[in-house]
Amino acid sequence: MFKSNLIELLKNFSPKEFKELGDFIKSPFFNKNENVINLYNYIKKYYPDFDAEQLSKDKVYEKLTGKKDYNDGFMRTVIFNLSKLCEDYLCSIVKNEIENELILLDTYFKRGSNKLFERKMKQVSDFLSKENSKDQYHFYCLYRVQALKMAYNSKNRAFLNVKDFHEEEEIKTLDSLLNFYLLSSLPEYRFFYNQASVVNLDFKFNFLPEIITYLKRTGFHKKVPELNLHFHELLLAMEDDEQNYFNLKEIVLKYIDKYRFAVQFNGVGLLANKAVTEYYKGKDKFLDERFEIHNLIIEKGLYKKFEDGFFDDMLFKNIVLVGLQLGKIEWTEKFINDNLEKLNPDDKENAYHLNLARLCVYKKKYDDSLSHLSKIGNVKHIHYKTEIKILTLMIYYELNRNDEVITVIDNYKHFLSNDALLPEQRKERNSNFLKFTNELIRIKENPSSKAVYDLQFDIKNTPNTYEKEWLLEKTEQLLKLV
Amino acid sequence: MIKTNLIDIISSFDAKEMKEFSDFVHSPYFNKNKKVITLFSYLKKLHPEFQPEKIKKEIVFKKLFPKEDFNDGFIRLIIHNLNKLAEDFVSTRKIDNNLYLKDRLLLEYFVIDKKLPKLFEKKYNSLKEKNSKIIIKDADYYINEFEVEVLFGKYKFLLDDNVLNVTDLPKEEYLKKTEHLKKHFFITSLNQYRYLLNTRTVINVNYEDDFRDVIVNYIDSHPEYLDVPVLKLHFLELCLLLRDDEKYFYELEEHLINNFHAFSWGEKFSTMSILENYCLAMIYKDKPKYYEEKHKLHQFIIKHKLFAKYEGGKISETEFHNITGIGFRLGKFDWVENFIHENKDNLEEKDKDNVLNMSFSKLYLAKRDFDNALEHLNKIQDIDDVYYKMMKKTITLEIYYEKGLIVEAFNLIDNFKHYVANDKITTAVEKERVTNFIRLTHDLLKIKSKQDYKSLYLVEKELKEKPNIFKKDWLMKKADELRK
Repeated sequence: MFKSNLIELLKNFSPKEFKELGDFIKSPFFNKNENVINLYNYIKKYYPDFDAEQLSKDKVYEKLTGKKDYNDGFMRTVIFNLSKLCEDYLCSIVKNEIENELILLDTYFKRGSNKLFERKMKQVSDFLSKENSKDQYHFYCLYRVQALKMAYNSKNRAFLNVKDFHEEEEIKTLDSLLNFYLLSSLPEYRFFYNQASVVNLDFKFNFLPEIITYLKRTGFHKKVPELNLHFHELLLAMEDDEQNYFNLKEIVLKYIDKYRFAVQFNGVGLLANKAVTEYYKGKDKFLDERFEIHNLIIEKGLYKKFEDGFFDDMLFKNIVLVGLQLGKIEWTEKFINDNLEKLNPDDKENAYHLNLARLCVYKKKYDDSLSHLSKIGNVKHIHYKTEIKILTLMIYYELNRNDEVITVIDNYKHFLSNDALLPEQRKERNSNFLKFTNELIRIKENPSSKAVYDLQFDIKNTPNTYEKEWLLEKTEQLLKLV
Repeated sequence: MIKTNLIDIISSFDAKEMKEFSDFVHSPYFNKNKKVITLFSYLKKLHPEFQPEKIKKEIVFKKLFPKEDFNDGFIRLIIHNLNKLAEDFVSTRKIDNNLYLKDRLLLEYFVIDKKLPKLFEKKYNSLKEKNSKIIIKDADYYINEFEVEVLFGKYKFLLDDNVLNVTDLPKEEYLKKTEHLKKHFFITSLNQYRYLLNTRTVINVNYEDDFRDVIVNYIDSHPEYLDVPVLKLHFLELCLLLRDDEKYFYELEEHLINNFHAFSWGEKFSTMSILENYCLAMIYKDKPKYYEEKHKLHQFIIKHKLFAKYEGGKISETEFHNITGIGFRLGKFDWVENFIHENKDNLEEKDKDNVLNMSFSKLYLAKRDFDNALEHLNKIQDIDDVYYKMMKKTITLEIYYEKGLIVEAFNLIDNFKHYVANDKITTAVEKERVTNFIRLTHDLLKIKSKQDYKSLYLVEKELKEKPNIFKKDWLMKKADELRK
């Protein structure tokens, strides 16, 4: 088989697309080259695998030309032409209706076909006014339409009178442009701020402070629901103010069904992240908030990156963690059973064992938990690595394998100091857990009530500590021993 | 008659397009309906005139299906299909020539429709290389770059979640993406703002937008954005319109001339209009050096045929008069006469007679051949442009004055005053300018007719001290003549 982009491309065509491609190639508007048509006709027999010996370049050449003396230049040209037609065909199926209409509008304007322009303008304006989704593309299309209208008016109408100047339209054009810009850029900025809380990123956006100040002063964002949401999302990601969480939550809960899937997904995801941050600041009420948001995520199916995607395994892990930290063992077990199949088959095995390992810890089935941990294969996400280490420590502690606890702590400290991806706050969260587990071991070996009370005090007053509930439970157990 | 939309579209096709459309209609990918082909073949013969009697639905039906009874629903369906094909043809042809759009559509297919990371990467890399060679970086360039990076972001988000290492995060691309978007936004919004501001200098509208100031102040403190020629062009235009500082006139003129190749036709044309308007404003602020500046701009316009908003477009009547008017003011009568003769065919046919009559009228007036001037002026008819009307009245008044037609001149003044008072479109500054002209002409006429020169010094004083007077030079000259 000859290897080329062409074959790689054609392999992914659906049968319907492949058939349509045949019509496309035979369309004189696109192609009048018989060799290209013959090449298509020949290789179509081998669709979709294209792995037959008959597809070697010289065999194909012989078939197309009836000649045996292979001509590479000829073959390359025919293949190139067919590849180009494939790409043209793909463009024709991807282009969307409104883009098509805008192209027509622009063409009529440039050709000076005024009647056609005015008719099309009315159609496109009607279409846009009826559009439900007022997202950035809606406003970009609106801007383009309004700008064309302005250009058309300026070209064709004499300004005889004030009413000839459509001031409102001019303002609408600028508003649409600003809406498009803000609807496109605010989520980008927000994405970065949100990423910074998950992985270690150092960046600075200029112009953003100017936008925020402007919106706070004018309230421009309030006119467009999606923009209002993005603005509050950004405030949540940027400003360290608990109230921003509740403001955004109110907007999300009120309008969630009016937003597109991706917008719902991002909005709720942000709330979930903020609840985590606030919780690790020592605000215990945010554990309940996390649980509430997780329930919303499950109810609305917002656990996947895209509508036909899989349950995000990191989110799955967090839902299990919060459920167990709140002592909802039955709820968590049911959640795992109900949703395991929604995970990506590639992730399912590891996710199953990791989450079962945690469930078993909370059910005090430590050997089972260890067994699950041992079955976890190669992990691709750093948070899986930290999770496994934490769980191992907890289990060793529960099983009184104190020397192993010390070894794992040393090993884990080393890992944290060498890692460049985890942000500082996450490192601190893990380090605090290691510090307190180390203390627990020390007190366990030489128990004294003062030491336990001191440790309990320290844990309670140290925010950003992983598995705080578990650590406090262990101090309570130690108190019973002394 | 056949639905006009279809006829309107295909009558706009030239012979080459008609041939391509024929291929299109015969392309099985778009059309397999033989009846539509038959209809097209019939209409093709009537292109481009499409005589109405030959495209009546009944006639067309009979030609296409001679043995069948007229079926309105059927013929309407075929017409609808051919109309749809004509629209598809127009947009397909346009997409075919729009490389930005084609490449983006392909990336979209690879990442969203099919999730093909390898093909996406290949196309993305070749596209980035291709785009890096683009010289004209306008708003379209930046929005395209932004959209490509959005697709790259989707590719990362949907097809690559192996975030194990800092280097896996496409930080640079994400940052670039926001920059591309920002540059597109700056270019397009500065362009819109300067359009509005420029309009405000000629038409009486008020528009305030404080986001404009946010952008302008931001660029002021981030001059690195001025490395983008188009952005700098619009920024300087806006500064010139907003800040009333002559340095921006020279900076803008220099930037336009030095980077002429980096701008689209529309950008060059509109910048030239802004520079011209600025010259005019300065002239009315009694800065006569701007007559020369404006004339220099006119020579540049003529050299590059920057007559209209669109390449190959005709020269507007206003611009024609601007060019001749400044030429007259500078006493370059031969140059003006030459310009009129060389460029009369660049005028719209519908405007030609009026513009030429007006221009010759001004030329004869300048040459003091008042009868010929009036004769040409009287040939002007059916005008609806407000400034054109004012110009006609002004010249007529000048001629009446010069010819000593005192009664006619006073009558015209009354009429002119009434017209200006009722006009709602002219800006207050322009109204003041014209009103000053009318009033001072009236005063001079009074002095001339009564031969009572006592108040002449008042007119002269006003002409000397007051800015914003239309035809000030002429008025001064007339006052001077009266003094003598």
